[in-house]
Amino acid sequence: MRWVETLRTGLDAIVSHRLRSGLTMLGILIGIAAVILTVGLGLGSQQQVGAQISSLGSNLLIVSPGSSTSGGVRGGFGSASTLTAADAAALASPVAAPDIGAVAPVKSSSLSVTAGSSNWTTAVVGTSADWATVRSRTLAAGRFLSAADVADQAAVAVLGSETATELFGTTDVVGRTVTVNGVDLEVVGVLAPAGSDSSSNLDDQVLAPLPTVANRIVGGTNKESVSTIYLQAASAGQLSAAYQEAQALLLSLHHVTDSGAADWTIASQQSLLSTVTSVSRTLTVLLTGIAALSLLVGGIGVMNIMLVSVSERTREIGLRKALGAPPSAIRRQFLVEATILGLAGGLLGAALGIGGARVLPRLLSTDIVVSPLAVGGSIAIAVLIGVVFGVYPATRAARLAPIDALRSE
Amino acid sequence: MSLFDLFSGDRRTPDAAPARPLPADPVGERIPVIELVDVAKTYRMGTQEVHAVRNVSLRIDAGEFVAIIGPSGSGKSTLMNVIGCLDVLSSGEYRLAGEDVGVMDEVELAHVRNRRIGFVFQQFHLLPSLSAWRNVELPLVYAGVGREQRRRRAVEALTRVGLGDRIDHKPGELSGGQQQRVAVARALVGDPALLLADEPTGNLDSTATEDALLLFDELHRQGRTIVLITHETEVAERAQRVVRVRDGVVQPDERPVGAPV
Repeated sequence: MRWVETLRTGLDAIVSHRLRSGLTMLGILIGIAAVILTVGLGLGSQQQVGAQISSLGSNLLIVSPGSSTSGGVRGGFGSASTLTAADAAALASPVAAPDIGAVAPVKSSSLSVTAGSSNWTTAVVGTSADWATVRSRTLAAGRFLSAADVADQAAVAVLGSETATELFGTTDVVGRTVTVNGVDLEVVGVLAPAGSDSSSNLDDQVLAPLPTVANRIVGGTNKESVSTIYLQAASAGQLSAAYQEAQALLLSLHHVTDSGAADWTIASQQSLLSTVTSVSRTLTVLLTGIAALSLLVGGIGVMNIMLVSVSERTREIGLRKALGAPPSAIRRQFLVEATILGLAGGLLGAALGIGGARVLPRLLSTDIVVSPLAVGGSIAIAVLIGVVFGVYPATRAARLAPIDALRSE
Repeated sequence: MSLFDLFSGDRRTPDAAPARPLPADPVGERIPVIELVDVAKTYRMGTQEVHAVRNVSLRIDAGEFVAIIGPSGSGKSTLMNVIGCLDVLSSGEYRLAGEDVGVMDEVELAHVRNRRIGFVFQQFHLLPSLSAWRNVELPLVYAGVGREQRRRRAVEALTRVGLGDRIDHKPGELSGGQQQRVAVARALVGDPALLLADEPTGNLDSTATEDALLLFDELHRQGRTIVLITHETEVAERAQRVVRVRDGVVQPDERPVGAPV
């Protein structure tokens, strides 16, 4: 029996049992679509987070307050504000840290900002004139905070574009005044929009000189503390040198001898990226595992249907054998049928997966990247499932004795 | 067994099997279509051995129309399975058109059934999803005949049984008599040495029965070798020769009165 005939016979059988074949394919279809979508989701979120991290700025080091140890209890990461404006000033020294190009300490508090009759609660950030450089931000209007503003504790502010819109209904607000905690700040500039990162809206914040925020707006007993210090290495090649200098300076400033006991953490974009990547990789493996399970279930479905098909078509098998079909032709017929089911399920599943990758990102906020490897691989897996789970039913069909098969009702 | 082997054909092709012609017939007669020598078939039912047929010797020559008749349980179905190469012998010899069938394995038997025997069954055994001509072409599919030729020969065979205008009908759209004629066309399409009909009229009404029997008469006149298995005397009487089976043993031949010898 020729291949074309085997193929035609298999297709005939599938077409004449449309509903059953469709339901069998559905199992594989869902599995394959799930594999493509989960792999795509994993890749998409990796790319997205990667883009966010590089949007933080270039050649960036982020110094965060580390855990503090009090009374033998080690607090969690970021539980203490151990960084101060003095640390930032020391790191900015071109003598002590020649590889550090720019320093932006940040002291951030959530406060209510008023302009005329409208008010808006947002992040009020005290920082230095280098912030815009370090964070790679540009201005839509006006100017950024200057070194003089910082030195003079000037009552000036730069608004994020959304903050400006919330308060004034427009971004054309240079020269107008906002009030925070009773302090009037003159708006000198508006930032160009930058979107959101994983934790905050980059376009909704009020930037003011660090001393202005620390002394005049927030006040309190902890005026010197800052929440984060952003450092920019003078160039990409000086990043690790900048890291060493920052670490050494902070060790001496904080009177710590053992770097294991440091109450701060210096992270680079690279280290952030690898953390996020490894997290999302774990997630992808987990989800793909679940998808693979559903493929296994789909494969068992194929075997189940093929076994039903064999016992339902016992008479047909008997007849074919009586008419001269050798066992190999019967085995091939059922194997081809199972393979077609697998292939069709795989192709339809791939189509559904690719379609889902187009539609889902509009509903979710993540990108789904369809990788050709995942598509090709999962179609191959679907075919393999058809073959593997078709072998047993096909062998059973081939072994039927023609007389018993003909006699069955 | 590798995956490739699962898909590929049998490693030993039946065509390569050496033909086993009989030694030259001592009397110089034609080679018989069927030659059973002291054949027995024993089944095992639990601990009991059932002798379905025993000591059967039977010779059927080319062009004969033979009815095998016997009550149910007489062993005639077993005999039909043996003659049809659907079952293997327990002992004895069976030569079909000169080939020793008794020593063949499953694959060779399939090949012999395909080339030498045309089956007509009581329940027709047509595939309901296929049209008449697709049913008729099935033996040619397994014989490896090309599609064009298969269709031509299937249509020819259907025309021969008077269904030339029904080639695209599915079995469900045909009457019982017409379905049986499709089955006869399928049996004829491969031009086999033997037409083996198992209770071909068992599921037909009297008109269709007469129709079918006329068709067998016609095929007999054309020189076909026909073996018809039945339990109805009226059907058996249409044959040229009647073989009676009782309790697994073949009774001496008798010929219906007036039948040509």
